[in-house]
Amino acid sequence: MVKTTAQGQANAVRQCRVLSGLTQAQLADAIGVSRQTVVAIEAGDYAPSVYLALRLAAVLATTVEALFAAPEESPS
Amino acid sequence: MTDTKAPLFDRFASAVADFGSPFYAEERQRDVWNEASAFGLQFFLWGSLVLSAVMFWVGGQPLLPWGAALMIFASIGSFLVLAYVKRLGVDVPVKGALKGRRMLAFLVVYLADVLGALHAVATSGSGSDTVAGFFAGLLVVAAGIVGLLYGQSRQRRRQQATHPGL
Repeated sequence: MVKTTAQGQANAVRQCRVLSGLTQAQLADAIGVSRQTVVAIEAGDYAPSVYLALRLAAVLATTVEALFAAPEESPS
Repeated sequence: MTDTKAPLFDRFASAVADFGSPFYAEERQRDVWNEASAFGLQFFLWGSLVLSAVMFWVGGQPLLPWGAALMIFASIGSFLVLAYVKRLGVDVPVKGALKGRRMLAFLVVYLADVLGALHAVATSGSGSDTVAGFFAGLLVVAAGIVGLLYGQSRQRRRQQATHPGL
């Protein structure tokens, strides 16, 4: 995978979207992004901005913390 | 839309890059576009340096002005990038942007450019002192950059030795 400047990581977006009964396209419309962006977020290939994460959480009726768990600190 | 109260540089940048385009509103689209632009810019900058070196060494004196124009144009592009990030409060350490193999590659290509230009002037038979002086100046600039980087590096090492927490 190409290393981009906005790499995301594993998250619960897909799980919450499925539970909400939304398709990727519907979720994309609801939060004002393209379907490819939803695909990238779900795959952990893109870390959304805090504003987009808040919109996601609102549409999926959950919290940002539930969608995106904080990464475990790696020992330095 | 262009903010007419914004500084001229910002308005110029906005007009050139079309920052008002709705395309930039979608954040991942914007991020990917920015990365693609960085790739394209780097390709252009390195390509310009390599192409001008080829022009100097292969084309000789007839292609000297064109190669020089290409180098100057690429330098203006680099300057605009640095000026833009500086305006937004981002410091790009020269050594951080160009280090290791990239720094070595840059110095090799840069020296190939300057020496190629001097070679083109010297072998033309009707050598122009002005052009030769210009490229000799570029050689001095390169030496200055290397000296500056070395000085910064020494200073940083000294500071780290004095204040290990920095």
